[in-house]
Amino acid sequence: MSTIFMAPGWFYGYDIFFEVFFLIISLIIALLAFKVYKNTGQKLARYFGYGFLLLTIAFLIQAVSNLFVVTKINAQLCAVVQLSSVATIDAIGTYLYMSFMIMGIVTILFVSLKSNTMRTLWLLYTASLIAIFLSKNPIYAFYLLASIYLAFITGHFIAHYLKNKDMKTLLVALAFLFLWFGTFHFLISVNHEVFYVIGYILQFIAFILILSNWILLRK
Amino acid sequence: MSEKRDRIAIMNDMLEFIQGKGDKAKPTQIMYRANLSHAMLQEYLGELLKKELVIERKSKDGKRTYALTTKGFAFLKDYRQMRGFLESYDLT
Repeated sequence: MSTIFMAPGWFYGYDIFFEVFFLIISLIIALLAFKVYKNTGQKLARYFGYGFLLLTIAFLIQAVSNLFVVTKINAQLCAVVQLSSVATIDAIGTYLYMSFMIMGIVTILFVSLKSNTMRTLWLLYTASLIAIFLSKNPIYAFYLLASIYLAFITGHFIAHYLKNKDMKTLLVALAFLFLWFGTFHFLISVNHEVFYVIGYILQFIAFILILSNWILLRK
Repeated sequence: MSEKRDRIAIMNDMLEFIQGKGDKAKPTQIMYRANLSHAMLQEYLGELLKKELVIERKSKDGKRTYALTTKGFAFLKDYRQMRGFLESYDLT
């Protein structure tokens, strides 16, 4: 159970650049959401901020974990003991990444459902984490759940765009569509390395769209 | 935003009107434009003055007009960004 073995060898290291980019954009959105909450008192903005903050933490963990693994491999510390410790660090990083990422996605889903009941949020957290950690294949379970949740979120933002057709709502709908595609490709990448890279590229497009929306808002 | 305007939306409406009037907005005009009672107008104008979002000018005949300050322009800029954020992510 490890992400490092899902990626093709030539991609080691490049994924870290993607993750750092994702975490920067997520952090910008989280901070903007908190600023909006502070000025307007909109509770949904606060939860949305928490959602993106959880994504930021997930990307940070993944980047640090991958950096550690890549550094160790590059240092050619491939004796059995070291390789085992590298795999352990990668596994811990992967579990932490999955936990924070699924909680982030669940929080955004909670916002899109416009639910005011906190119990719904905690129920979704608990059910998702238990489903992932008790699964025989936690990575597969994680990407499957993430794909389902993102499908709902994407549907919500597409419906929102159809109600309010403008560039900003279109960018958001497309961003979540690409996030969903990206996550779906990660689901396939459990067996095919090339899909893992495509997943990153699709996520990269999604975050470029989120960044474009942020730039539009600043104008 | 929601149909019932919140406090920040009312302040934004007032500031946008003052900006639109070329910084020579009269209290009565602001009151009608922002759809406020006289008491509410006084309360909100007091808040805008307190937050240094507007300045008050008095003409020789004692008539008051209001103009935006740098903070007022910054508020409008931020408000548009904040409202755009709320609307684009459907957080209203």
